[in-house]
Amino acid sequence: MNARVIINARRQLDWKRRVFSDVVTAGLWIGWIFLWLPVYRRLHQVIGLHLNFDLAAHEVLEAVAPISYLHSIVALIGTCVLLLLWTLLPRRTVTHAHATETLADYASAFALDAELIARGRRGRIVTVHHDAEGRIRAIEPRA
Amino acid sequence: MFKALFHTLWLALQGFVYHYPLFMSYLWMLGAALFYWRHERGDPPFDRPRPLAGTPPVSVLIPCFNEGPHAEETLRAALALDYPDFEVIAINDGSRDDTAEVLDRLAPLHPRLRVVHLAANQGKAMALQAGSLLANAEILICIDGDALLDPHCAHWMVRHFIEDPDVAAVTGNPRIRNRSTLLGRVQVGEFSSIVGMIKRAQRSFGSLFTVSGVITAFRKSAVHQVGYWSADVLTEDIDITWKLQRSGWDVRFEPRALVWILMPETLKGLWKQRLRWATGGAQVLRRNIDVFLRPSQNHLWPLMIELCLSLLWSYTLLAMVVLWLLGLVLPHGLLPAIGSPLIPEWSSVLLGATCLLQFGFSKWLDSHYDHGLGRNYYWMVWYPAVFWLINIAATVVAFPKALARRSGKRARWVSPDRGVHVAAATTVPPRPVETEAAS
Repeated sequence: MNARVIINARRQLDWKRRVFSDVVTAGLWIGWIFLWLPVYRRLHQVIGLHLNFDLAAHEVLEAVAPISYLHSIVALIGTCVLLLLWTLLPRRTVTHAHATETLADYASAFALDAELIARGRRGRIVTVHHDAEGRIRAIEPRA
Repeated sequence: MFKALFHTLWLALQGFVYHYPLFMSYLWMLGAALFYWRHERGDPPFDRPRPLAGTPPVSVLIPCFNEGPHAEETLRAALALDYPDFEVIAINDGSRDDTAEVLDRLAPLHPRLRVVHLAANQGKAMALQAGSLLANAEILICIDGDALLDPHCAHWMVRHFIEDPDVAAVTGNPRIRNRSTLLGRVQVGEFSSIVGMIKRAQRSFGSLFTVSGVITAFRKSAVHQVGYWSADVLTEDIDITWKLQRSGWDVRFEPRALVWILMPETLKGLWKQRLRWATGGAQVLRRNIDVFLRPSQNHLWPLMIELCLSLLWSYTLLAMVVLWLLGLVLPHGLLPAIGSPLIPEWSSVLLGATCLLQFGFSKWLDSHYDHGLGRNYYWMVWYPAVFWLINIAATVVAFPKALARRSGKRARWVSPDRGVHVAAATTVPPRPVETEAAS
């Protein structure tokens, strides 16, 4: 179904519009790559110090991350575990899950005649009338 | 002393603005990975579902308001469900176009199709309520009037209702059809990386913030017990999710239950849609903030905390932007020095990288169901650059609107922009009438 339902009418758009979005998007990617130049420079400096790899990686990560990456990981995993433990707490659950409502229940709740609802359910084409407050007042099978 | 306190508070707010989205992004990715590991990894492909222990009858409810151009295509897809026992109920909510004529013409041609006309326009919530009352099945699959159901959708959703009697609703995985424009393509990525990923993560951590109104299966008696969809909220899907979960029912996410949807492809249409979502979310916050006073509803506390923090974050960011702008015009030293919250620095660059990493991960997750998602990755650079600002602006504008909105005021349909169309794209093939014998 995938390919059949997807609408890709890009070729039918005005060429100026297409070129504009293509070019601006390419510009954003280029800008994005340029934003990483300071990281590259820092990496280059650290490599120039001839440190071992672990130390160099640590130095770069500490420079890039706004807070200590170790603290960030602990906070993240801790929150994850806390949320999973939270799901184990006793909580409200339905006690009447198996109780399926009957036609009489629906008729009573909607203040309608059960036979009227049943006829509506049998109808192929039905018209429903509401009052000003949004309550169903009539169900009229047409076919 | 006061100056030091102010400085500390200022740093804390800056830290919150930068670190909150970063933290949430990784939390969502972890939660989604956990969901994949527990619920998706071992299952067969979405188009070859395992046989069910039983096939209870299903009613597909399709509320339609001015859906003349889409109704036939939507109904043909719904009638092509690969499920033994179902009916399709199209509910015409007092449309002003030719929807009524289209539905009346199709009804005699398809034995499984029934049509419910509302004598006057009532809004989506009321249309669903009428359809639910007249549905013959206990399981209701509710979709929008312009959405195309995947043939295997019912199969995947029904299994949850069979497995567990506490399940009241199962929401599916909406996939975007219109991918012609920049906005359309960014939203394809957004629906995977934000919508799909958050639903996976929330499900891993307990409860869903909302079902997708465009595709959700409900247990009819559960919806009846919580008083149906609220007619006075702008997002009836968020509202019913909270009503069900607060009553103790379980609400699930089924990523293999696919539906193909249309999304706005103009800025105006997008803004209207996001503003409606955000206002509906704020309405739900207002109605449900009291969960904190009910220990029996503790399973919803993390969701409510996240909702409050997201709102706080949006307003804090707004305050930072305003202060930064004021700092440019006011004399030096009057306000604390602040870099632009919008121009990238280290934290923003890291945030942007995280955002793109999230897109990459979600692309992999949803590629099982929606092939060719990788082609959209090129456009996703717009999300960390610009697109998220639209959502934040919508949140900021929506909250006062929701507070000012009178409770009880009926929410009516908003006719959305459905993107760029081509006649050739409407290709759901008609199914022969003789194969659609009523069960």
